[in-house]
Amino acid sequence: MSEKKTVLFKIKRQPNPNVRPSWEEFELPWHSGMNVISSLMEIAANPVTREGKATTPITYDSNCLEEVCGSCAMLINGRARMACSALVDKLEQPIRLEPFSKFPVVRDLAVDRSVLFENLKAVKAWVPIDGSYDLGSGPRMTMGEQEEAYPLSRCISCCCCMEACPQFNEDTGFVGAAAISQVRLFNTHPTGAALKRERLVALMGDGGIQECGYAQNCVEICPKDIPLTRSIAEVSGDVMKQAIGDLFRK
Amino acid sequence: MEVRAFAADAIIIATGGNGAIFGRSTNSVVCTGSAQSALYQQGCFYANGEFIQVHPTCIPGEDKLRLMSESARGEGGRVWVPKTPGDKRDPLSIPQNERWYFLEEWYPKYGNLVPRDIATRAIHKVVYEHNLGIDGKPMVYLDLTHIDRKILDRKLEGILEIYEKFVGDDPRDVPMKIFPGMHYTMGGLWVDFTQATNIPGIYAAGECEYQYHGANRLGANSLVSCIFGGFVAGPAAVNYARNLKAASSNGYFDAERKRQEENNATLMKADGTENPFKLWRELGDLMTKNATVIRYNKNLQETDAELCKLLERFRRINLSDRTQWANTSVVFARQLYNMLQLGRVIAQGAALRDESRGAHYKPDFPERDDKHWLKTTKATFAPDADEPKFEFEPVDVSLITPRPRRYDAVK
Repeated sequence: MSEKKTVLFKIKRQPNPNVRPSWEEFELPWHSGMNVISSLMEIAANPVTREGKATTPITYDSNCLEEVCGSCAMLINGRARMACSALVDKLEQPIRLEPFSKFPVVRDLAVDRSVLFENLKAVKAWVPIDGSYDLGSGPRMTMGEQEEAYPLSRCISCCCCMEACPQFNEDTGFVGAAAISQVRLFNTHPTGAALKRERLVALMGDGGIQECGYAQNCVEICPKDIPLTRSIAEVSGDVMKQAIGDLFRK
Repeated sequence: MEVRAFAADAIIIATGGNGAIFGRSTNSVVCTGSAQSALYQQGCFYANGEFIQVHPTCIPGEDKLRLMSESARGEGGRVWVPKTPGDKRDPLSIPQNERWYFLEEWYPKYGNLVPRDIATRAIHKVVYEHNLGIDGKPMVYLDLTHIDRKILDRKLEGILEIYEKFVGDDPRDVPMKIFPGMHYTMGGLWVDFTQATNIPGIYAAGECEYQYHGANRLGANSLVSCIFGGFVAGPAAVNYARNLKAASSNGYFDAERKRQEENNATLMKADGTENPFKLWRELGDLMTKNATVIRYNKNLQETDAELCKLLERFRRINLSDRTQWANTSVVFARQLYNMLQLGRVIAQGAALRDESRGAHYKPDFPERDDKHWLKTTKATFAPDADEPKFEFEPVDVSLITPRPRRYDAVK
């Protein structure tokens, strides 16, 4: 076989939010070690479609390329995942690249994911310290606590869990698994626990934790293997206890 | 797309290293050194540009080099190659006496834990002088397979997952294949003890400044410049801004906005043949070849001449994308220009420093020369000549007397 091996991509293009998307095909020479990002880089260096038509380089977000920054998330063959770890040799061709479907498209594969950051602000996903004077070293966490907290701290804000969740949509306004898991992380932190009640209250009512339909897509799709359904179950129990407690304290 | 000026009394630059100047590196793709270069072109000193660190254990990749952390060796990882060139056997089937643990042999006291530059040059030597790279390719084994899986999972899970995910092999079962790659920028914007650059009101903290790591950063030490530098820069910048006298606007912000708009318009209009992403690849290959592990003056001078040619070709750029919305090509092209300018600071600085110090290694000048070169390199941009000018500042050694670095002494 003297024919040169190639890789075929179908990429959804949308120059700006006000026009309808369309598809373009690209054919790249195959070589070992290719992933989706390296392919997008090759297209940028030679932006010509399969039919030989000159086009624009593809707009996408990326930064660390090591599944730490969370920015290159997109739909690859219909599945929400990080482009930097999507190895071409392990994907069925043509490789279809689309932007996330539940977030506003900025251009091509880049979407606006600020909803997650708004949700993280709503649940106060931080450890409160006012920084105006030296507090000394923080409280100690046992090895066991550390080992429980560490997997939760690996969230990269990629929003894959939200894209894959059937309940995450405009009707429910569901906050999503990522933010709920961060509530668990910061509520179990000895200093972070100071805001525990506020975080739980933020998850009550419409769009709160009750919207979860236990589809379990989130835990299935999470690129960092975060135990998201366990977080939802634990936080759900805490929200319930808080709600009942608040009722009696009224 | 719109250019906006953000008026400020003081700014803190925290833009990281400049790995992208070397094409593929372990850095994030935003680490282009563009901001540092822009400031250098506006009058900031850029110090010790020639000091960049190559990390010995990177996972070669098409899009980037991924770091295999030192902790792999810290937990007992062993670096080796088959003693027979081009040995095609499965690495696990190669008996111990047919493996060459060259770091352990050459540096018995430190073994696999020698500093980065030593390990990097050793791997280079084994691959290029002894021709013992795996499969004849520039790679050596970093082997963890002799360590219990449970220990590996507990202590190294994160970094092993990186290899597994991005290469497709499980390093608990198969020795990893690694090779040195551009990793850290010791040089950077010149700052004083308050993290202030020489332009009043501009502060810098983290990898983008030059202050803490001299000619070579030690492993797990980057947080010194990040955290400590940040702690100092924040209050210093606030203090500076508070003590400023009120001044009326001098029109500078408007003028700069206009300049940047014109710059963008020129790039957008340019109708040449040069693709910015291709030019960047050429820049990366050039710098990696001549300005990383082993440096020769002749090659460095040629590199600078090539950089001038790339800057010339940059004028004949074609962005392929002239739209005004989320245009990543124009952003990249702007960064590329700054990378090319900063590349010259690195290449010329390396050519000037006729000695070997830390990560800077010249076979023609293999010794450290404290008499002439215990100095900080300071580059300034000469706008008329469109090139760097250099001056040198003595290093304060009043607290610690420098002594030779030796890793080959027996335990």
